[in-house]
Amino acid sequence: MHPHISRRAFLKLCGGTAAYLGLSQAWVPRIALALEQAAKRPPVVWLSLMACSGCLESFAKSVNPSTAEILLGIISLNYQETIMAAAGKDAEANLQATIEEGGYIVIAEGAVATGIPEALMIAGKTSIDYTREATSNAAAVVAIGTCATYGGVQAMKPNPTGAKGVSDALGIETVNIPGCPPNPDTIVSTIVHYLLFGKLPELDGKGRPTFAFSQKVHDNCERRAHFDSGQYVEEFGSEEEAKGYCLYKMGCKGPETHSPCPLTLWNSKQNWCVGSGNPCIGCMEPEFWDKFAGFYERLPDVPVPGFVGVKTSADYIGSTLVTATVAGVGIHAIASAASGRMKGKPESEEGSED
Amino acid sequence: MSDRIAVKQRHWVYIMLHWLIGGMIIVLAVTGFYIHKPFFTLGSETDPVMVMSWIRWTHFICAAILIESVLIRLEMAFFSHFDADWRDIGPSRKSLKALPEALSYFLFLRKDHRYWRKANPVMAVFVFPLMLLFYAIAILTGFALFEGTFFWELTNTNSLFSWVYDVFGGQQGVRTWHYYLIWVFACLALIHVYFALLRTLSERDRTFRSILNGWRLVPRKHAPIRGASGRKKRGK
Ligand code: SF4
Ligand code: SF4
Repeated sequence: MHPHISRRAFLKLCGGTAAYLGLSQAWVPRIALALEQAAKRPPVVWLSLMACSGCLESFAKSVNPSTAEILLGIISLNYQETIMAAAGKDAEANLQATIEEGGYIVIAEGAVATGIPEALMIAGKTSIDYTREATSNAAAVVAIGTCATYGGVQAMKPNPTGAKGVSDALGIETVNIPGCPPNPDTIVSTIVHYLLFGKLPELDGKGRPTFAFSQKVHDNCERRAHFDSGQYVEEFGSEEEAKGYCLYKMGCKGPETHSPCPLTLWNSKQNWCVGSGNPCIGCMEPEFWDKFAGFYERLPDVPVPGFVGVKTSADYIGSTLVTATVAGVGIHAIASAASGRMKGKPESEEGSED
Repeated sequence: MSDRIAVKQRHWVYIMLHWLIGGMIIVLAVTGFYIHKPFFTLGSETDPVMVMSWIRWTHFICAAILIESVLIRLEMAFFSHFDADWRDIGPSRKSLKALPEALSYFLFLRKDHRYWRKANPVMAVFVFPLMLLFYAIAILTGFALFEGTFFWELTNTNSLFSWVYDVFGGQQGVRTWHYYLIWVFACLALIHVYFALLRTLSERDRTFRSILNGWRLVPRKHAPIRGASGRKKRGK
């Protein structure tokens, strides 16, 4: 255990982790034991690829006790560009030694540049080569953040650098913990799960741990009762927003987003996006940057079916379709009337009703 | 003697199914639009009515009724003992043969057309199959959304409808397509009603009334040989 963490804080973390992983509190001592006795702290290599370092920021700062401290106690962080002591050749030598030894965990942050490989060069290597080498001997690869999982904001169309998630770019299996930024609790819990059971947690079809990503924001949202009662915020800064009305009409993508945000919260568990009155923008869903933007409308900026590259709102496409049909039918009706067709044939009165 | 006689062309089951399907589409479109854009609210702030919940509940129930009705109507179109009419209302050799003439009639290239037993060939060849296609899209995307809402396992690969999300472009894509259906069905319904109105006015054959009571004026030589029940079938 890291000397700077109190026993109390440490057990609190273990308790929180047990709850998050869906284990009973009876597991807490075992988690504590597993963390303390991990005979050899698993070495971790943290790759910083095309990213904004927000993931590290979120990871290092947001929980109390701080995740960075915990991780220094639980794992052996052998390589992390921002916070490692070594630099230059020493750092790369560290990395090489870890790779050769094997059995390490890779935490990848940021996208891999596949279209313009030179867009990201690390230690003289392209991000593809660098990532392939660093993951070659790894026990597990955990991609954290929407960039490392699905490409992230720089993968927005037309995606000039060919930014891709680690799994897509290298064709390997990764644990995906998306989010812009990802939630530190989810990352820590995944690692603890690995230490405790010797294997990765159950993953869904998109590589996400199901303990965190099997429910949607909307399923656990504190504003959900207002959604069901038809009480919606119509304007930012309004009284309704402060009262906690639902943000659905402000474009909230909570119903579309698999994420544990309402349960884990952010900023040392103080608040979260929807709690603060901002609609969820779906930052944990694949391609949210293309599919969910503009973020403050319900179904905005959708591609027009049949017209590549043209985008408009779903409402506009729909109403245009109906207007065109009305116009077509109207013109035909006028033509039919003009041709005298509408006057019709004389109606027969004879019926056979046997 | 008149050249036309009234014939009971539609069985009451078909009339009922027609209005069930039409009615459900209207209810689904309105409730669907509310789910897209909640445009009213009920009750007071402290004692609200659960409008969204009830609207969604209605939407799901009506969707179930619509699916049942469409399936029954399809089944009857092919296998009914008294009026298996898929040749009249779907693409068939019969409706395809009548199509060029119908098209030139609707484009004012000719003055008259042969007798159509039920829907006109344009409806049969284009509009009804399109409706079926959009029913299929509605049902698939609808079930995918439903499953995603009520059964959290959707993210798992073994879920029944997760592939729908891949086909329609993810969470937002499925919602967008499901929403387009309101407008698509509005267009198709408009065309359908217009054709019926046109026929009623230009043929004066009581087409509008026939979808209520089943009776329509039919040229004598196309009427069933005996009786007006429509039960005894003539050769096509
Ligand atoms: S604020 Fe968003 S996530 Fe919360 S209930 Fe409303 S729509 Fe759902
Ligand atoms: S609430 Fe939505 S936008 Fe906010 S962090 Fe969670 S998934 Fe991202």
